[in-house]
Amino acid sequence: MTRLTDEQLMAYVDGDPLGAAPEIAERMRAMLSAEEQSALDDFRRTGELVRRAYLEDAVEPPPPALVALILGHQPDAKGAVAPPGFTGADTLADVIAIKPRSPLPRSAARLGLAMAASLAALFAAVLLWSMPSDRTDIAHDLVPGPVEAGSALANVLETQMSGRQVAAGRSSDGGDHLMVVGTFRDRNASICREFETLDVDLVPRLAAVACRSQETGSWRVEGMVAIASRDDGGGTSFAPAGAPEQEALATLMSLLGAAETLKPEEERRLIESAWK
Amino acid sequence: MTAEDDDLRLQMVALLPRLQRFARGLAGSRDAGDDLLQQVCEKALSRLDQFERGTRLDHWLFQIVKTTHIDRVRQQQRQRTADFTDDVVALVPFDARIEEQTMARQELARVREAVQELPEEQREVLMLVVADGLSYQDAAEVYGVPQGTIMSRLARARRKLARAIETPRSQAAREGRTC
Repeated sequence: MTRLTDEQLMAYVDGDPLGAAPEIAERMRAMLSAEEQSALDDFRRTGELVRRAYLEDAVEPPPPALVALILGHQPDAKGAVAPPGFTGADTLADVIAIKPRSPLPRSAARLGLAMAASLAALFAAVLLWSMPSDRTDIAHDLVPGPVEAGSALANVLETQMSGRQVAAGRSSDGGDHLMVVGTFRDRNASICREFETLDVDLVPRLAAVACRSQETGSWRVEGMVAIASRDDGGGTSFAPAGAPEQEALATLMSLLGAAETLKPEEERRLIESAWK
Repeated sequence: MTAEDDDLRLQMVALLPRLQRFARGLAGSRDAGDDLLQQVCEKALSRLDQFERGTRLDHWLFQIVKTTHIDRVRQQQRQRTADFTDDVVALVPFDARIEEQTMARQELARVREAVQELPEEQREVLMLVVADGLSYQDAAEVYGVPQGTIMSRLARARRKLARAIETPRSQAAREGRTC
């Protein structure tokens, strides 16, 4: 049997149309050679690591001076820059000027939450569009809004350190996994956790952010985005974490006012003290 | 400034996070990347009338990032006076901010280091396709090369990167491996 080329395997992992060729789908259903499997693992791992390594660059808002240069406007006293023709109390300028860990004007915070809600709705639409209707796994159950107390997701968010893959699905094909990617505080100092759902092959399918209410201790999914999907057409296709998805997640984190990721020791201490 | 220009400028602002990520990835550090991005924006604004309406603004801007970066590297090479080893270190700066962070962060820092050690053309494609999410076809259009070339560079980059990440730095040093 002819070995699949690195390019074919990579196209499969990346969800490129070339990776959906019948001969590749056929080989995927059969046993891959050790060499092919190794290449496949390399492409999956490097794709995930490189995306994570550079994701924070997208979270950081662009320098106001650069925005001013492009728009041909001077930043105001807060360093904000209004786009041409944009008026109103809750200006986009406030959003552009958001800097993690800096308190925002109340109006900007309100707008941020409103936009986060809109994004959540958009993410939900993306999710519903991409998920087969008969799935009963955790990714399919996940929706923006309150996380049910005692659910697998709530337990993982409440008790698990970042970087641990926890089996949490109910699928007949082996179940999904959840993995917290990082923990941070939002602009209100509430704890938020970015997490992913991984499919049975441990391929990330959804990235999401949930925040914990300081008053009630309950978790709420603020937004999520599909980073992979699987079709039911006999073959398997993966959608890569493309720019729109990454940008949407980054925008959400920016709107939440995400501070830097907590260090493991701080994360552990907070988990052990029930996030107190 | 025309309404069309205004619209283009707004689109440029919306693209800044992607351009910033690409610029930092090419330049190898936050500061150098941000300097590069500043230069790119100035260049793009001065040539806004050359942008062909109806084509992809992001492709056009990525091309400007790429060519500006190449110009800067060539300029740096011309300015070299110190010994080569020192220059290599200077061209592969390490972001100390990342080093101070968590174990998870350290792994990602190691990934960034390994990415910086990739050959230029492989690193560019890796940043465009994997970090930014461009399709192979779109990346081929940005670079004006066949899609197969993009795929070949990308596959080589990722196999090399996987080996670099798995190989302990000390072992790599003993073997005299550079990338």
